[in-house]
Amino acid sequence: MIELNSISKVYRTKTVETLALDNINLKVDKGEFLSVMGPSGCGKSTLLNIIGLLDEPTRGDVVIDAQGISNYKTRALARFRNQKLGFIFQSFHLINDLSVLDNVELPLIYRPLGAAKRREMAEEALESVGLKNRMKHLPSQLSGGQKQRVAIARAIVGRPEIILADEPTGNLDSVMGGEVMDILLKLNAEDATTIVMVTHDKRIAGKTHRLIRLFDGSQVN
Amino acid sequence: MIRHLLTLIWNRKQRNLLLLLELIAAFLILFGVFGFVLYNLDKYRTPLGFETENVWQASLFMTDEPDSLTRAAVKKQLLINLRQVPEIAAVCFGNPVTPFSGSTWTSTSDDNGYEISAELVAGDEDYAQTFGLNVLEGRWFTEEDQNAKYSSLVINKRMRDTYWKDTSVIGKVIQWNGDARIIGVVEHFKYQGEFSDENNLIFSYFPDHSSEMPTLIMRLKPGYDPSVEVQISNIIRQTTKDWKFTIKNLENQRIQNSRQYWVPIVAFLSICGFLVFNVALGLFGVLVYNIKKRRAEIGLRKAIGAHPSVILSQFIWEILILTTISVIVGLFFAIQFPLMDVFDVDPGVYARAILFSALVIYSLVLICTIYPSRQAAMVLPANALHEE
Ligand SMILES: Nc1ncnc2c1ncn2[C@@H]1O[C@H](COP(=O)(O)OP(=O)(O)O)[C@@H](O)[C@H]1O
Ligand SMILES: [Mg+2]
Repeated sequence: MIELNSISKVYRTKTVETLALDNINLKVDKGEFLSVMGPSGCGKSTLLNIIGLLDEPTRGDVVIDAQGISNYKTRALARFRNQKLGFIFQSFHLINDLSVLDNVELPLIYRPLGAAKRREMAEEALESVGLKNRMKHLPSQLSGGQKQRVAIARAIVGRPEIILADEPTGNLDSVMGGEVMDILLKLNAEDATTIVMVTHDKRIAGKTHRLIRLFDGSQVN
Repeated sequence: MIRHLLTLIWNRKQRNLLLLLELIAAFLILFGVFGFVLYNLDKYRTPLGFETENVWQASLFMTDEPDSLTRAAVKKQLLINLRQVPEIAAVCFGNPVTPFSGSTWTSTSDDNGYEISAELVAGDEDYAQTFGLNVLEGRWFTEEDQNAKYSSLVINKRMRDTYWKDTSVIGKVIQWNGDARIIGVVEHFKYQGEFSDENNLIFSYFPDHSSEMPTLIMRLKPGYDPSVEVQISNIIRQTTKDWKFTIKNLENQRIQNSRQYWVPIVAFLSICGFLVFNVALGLFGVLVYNIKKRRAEIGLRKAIGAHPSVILSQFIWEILILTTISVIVGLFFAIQFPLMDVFDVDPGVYARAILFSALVIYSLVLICTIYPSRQAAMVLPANALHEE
């Protein structure tokens, strides 16, 4: 499903050049739940961005669904991200000026869907994270765990095949983190959603199918 | 998408309020200035209707003595003497209601139960030729009109259109100080100046030697030798002996008169331009700032599938919606002027002022929003989502 072949990523600023990823080879199968661990700054987010087609690798190719990605600027690629991928971030990235429901609907407004259908799908997604009663709230009125559940609802509302989660429990206490993890596990188990998740928490990583470790941009086993 | 943007704008209403107020104020100020300018330019657009180039005017202060017969003789002699000057193309007498003098004479009359109201100017048989008036229908006065059964009147086109549109007016007898016959229609005679309203106007006839006609009007041939001005003044002085007189050039008068209008028009437009420039700067600053503040949102939208062109159009649409709201609110205030008939101004002026103001506001906003919106479209999601 996802294939990274000899991926390297170099960030160049005026003063420094950072090798964020160094010759990464990775295959993620359909329905797999993969976790990525490693110390801060080792390239975990970079890896996720490259899998999520948010960033272009400096060298190497990304193959998704047997299709090599060459041009990152096309509408087709944007559509692909919209339909096949769901993103969850450590800092939630909810739009504070939109209600919970509108936040969850966000990926759907970039699809040719009617308002009623969008709403129905968003409510369903909120239902599955247990927040249907908070639809009209603003993100500022929610706890961290609730915010992350809204973000999960937003990630799954478009029924993506792959979810990319960058430290989804990083800002949450263990109880809330556990709830979030349960939702992800359930998604993976019931809908066979492929999940790649970055985490710092060994116990959480232990619940996934496979764990890879990064160190200074390289994969270590 | 529009619905989504409306929600977003509504939820951000407090932050958008200042921008909205700025746009409304700009719209209303533009409306006021454009209204003022268009109102005046509309008047300016109708032709003056008479010559001012090379036209000189001498107001004669005819002394009471000698008697009116000698006075008439002096005036006759003056015309004879002046007509011998080769540079003079035409010369005539008119009453004191002269171009740009600021004096008007308005009168009303009951024409078989219908009220007729008009301004009055009087001239002799050479008046039309001297001023180069355009006689549309009928004819100008001749000496025969002295002995006509009814007193003869020439009216302007505006008066014809006001009272007798689509009917033949030549030969028509109306009640105007007794029976009077309309013998001609003059196209325009905006004697109060280029920016003045053109009102109903009646020319009445007096022969050149009449005491009612103290204003001497002379049209010189183009390119005349300036020394002829001294020669003319000498002729007048020598012929009239002790009459005092002042000579004015009508072209100068016209320019002076129009300056009273051009100065505020240019001043308002400059202030307006300065204002627009400031609004543009402010707007640009606010938009750039907003986009800086919303980088994470932009990154997120791109991550979840918004193509850069979609981001670009989102930001342009957002500001266009805000502008439309401002214009609608502005329109609500602006429309009160014609509705309540605050000023005696043609509704078409208001309509055009509204149109131009909206046009300027929209162009301004579009120009100011292109750069920030392009910046937004170029935000790299990987960076933007990483920053917080
Ligand atoms: N946009 C960027 N520009 C420059 N350097 C970057 C950028 N993003 C990440 N880096 C650098 O790349 C390295 C890997 O970063 P990241 O993938 O965020 O690490 P992690 O998520 O494992 O903490 C770090 O040294 C980081 O400073
Ligand atoms: Mg990271």
